[in-house]
Amino acid sequence: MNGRQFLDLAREVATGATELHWRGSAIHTYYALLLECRDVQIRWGLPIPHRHNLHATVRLRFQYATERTPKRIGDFLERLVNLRNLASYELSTRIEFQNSQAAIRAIQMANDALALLDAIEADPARRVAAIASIRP
Amino acid sequence: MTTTSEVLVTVTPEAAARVAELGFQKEFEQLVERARTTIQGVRWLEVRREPPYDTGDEEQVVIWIRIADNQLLNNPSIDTFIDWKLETFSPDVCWHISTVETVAGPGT
Repeated sequence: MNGRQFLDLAREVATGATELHWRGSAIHTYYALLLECRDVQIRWGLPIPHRHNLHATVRLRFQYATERTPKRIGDFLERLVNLRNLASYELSTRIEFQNSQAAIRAIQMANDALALLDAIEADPARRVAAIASIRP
Repeated sequence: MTTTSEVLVTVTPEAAARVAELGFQKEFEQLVERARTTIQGVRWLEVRREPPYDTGDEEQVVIWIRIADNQLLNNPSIDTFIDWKLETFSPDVCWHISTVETVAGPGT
């Protein structure tokens, strides 16, 4: 399977009716994008991130890229990881998980990010430029 | 409609201290002002210092941009803000000061 399949699960879980569902959806959404970004970076020849700092390494590579589109993808990861951290670790009552809206917005962001990633992958020239813009 | 003068900004002392440690006061103020005045549906901004948990090594300053629930989706002003942020600030600023649009809560 591939990382983006977790987005299907996120969509399904977001239709649930409890805080538990909306938190779960946000978590799955983040991992859908993280894993796709990790795998694309490996396909691009970048070193496999060490498991101890995988989240930060994948994100940092994109956020510090000099090309606009990888930076944008990095920013999506940034936004989603913050929501995921609330979902996973901040278990007191949170505004974000009183309804499904934040989870649905997260899915929208992940979709947008994946569209950008796919656009880079589909265009050899953009792919070369994106790879060149990233420091390993 | 909430006018920009009614958009409250709350900053925890820990977040303010972290911004000062980083030396990013000017950039922080620009981010807050831009978010406050250009994002459609913004109700309030909440700035906190957030731990990285298992996803990094450093705490971040996070500007939670609280948007009316019915304006959170398909809101082009959010993309415009992000584009401006990424074009205006260095990766160092964007790495240490995060902006996250999210719900303002029921009834907003």
